[in-house]
Amino acid sequence: MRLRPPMPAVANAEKFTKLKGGVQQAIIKGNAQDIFDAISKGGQKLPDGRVKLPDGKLVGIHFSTKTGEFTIDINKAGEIFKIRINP
Amino acid sequence: MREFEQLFNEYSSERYSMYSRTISESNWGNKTVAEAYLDRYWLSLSEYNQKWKPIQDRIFVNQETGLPQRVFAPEFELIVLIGGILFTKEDFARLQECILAVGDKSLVIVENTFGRSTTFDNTSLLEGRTFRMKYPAGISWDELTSGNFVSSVMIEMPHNEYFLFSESASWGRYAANDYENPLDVTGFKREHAAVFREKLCVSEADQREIAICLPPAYSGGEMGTGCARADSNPEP
Repeated sequence: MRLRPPMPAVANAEKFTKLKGGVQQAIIKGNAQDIFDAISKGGQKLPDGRVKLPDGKLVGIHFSTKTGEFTIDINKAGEIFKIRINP
Repeated sequence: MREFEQLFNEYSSERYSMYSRTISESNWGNKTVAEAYLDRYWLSLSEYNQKWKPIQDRIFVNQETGLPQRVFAPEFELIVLIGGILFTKEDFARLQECILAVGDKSLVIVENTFGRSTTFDNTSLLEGRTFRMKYPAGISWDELTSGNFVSSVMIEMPHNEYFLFSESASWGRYAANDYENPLDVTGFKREHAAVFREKLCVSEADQREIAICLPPAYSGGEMGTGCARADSNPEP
């Protein structure tokens, strides 16, 4: 199932797939920090580590318990996007 | 210090509220509600080690690896569904019907630590911040989700992986939410096949999606019976 990316910075994701509960996941290759910086550009860093973008989207990061891999999570008006970064 | 202290402190942070569709950010972090919930449903380490870990080990193999390895012992038949989070209301109801049909009285949910003792950035001990819960099998959805940040993170955060099982050791579910293609793998003994296959059937569209992302250890089974299914002894 092809879904629309939540923002242009992740438009190069091959595809977003819908998971249980409506979570949308994409896998992107690249440098995790660069991708996070692009996604969170212009946002306000919150004390808890998340970034709040001017349009209200919330961006957070998560490290996998299993692999330590970096995941960027985005909440867009209640829709959850999970973007796994493969270096 | 309470066994769940680290979990309690970690997940009360507002940063985890971004995953929740059931609790607003303004209502996040109610420690009174969360503590009462943990007092009701936290599974103590002593009870887990004495009673439940041996049952878990009879059902699950390759626990420190998870997917793509087969995580169920060979005698279990499997149904694989799309994963992502622990439960939606509807899929909890379907699993609960199976558990009650089996005759089990409890539902145990244990987070997989993959054999690690600390987080990757070494900021905390996993032992104290991983979920280890025990619920009555007939628990209502409203009660299951009544623990404020505790239940919301466990059920709605799309990252943790969990073992689910009951006292009969005749079924289990592995919620592989952290696998690259998140999957729910439900295993059951042959005598319960009819009820699990009836309750956990999926659409043909979902079957096609699942077939694409099945690891080899799960892809040798029969497809097209109305359920995404992998046999207990797939061809190599």
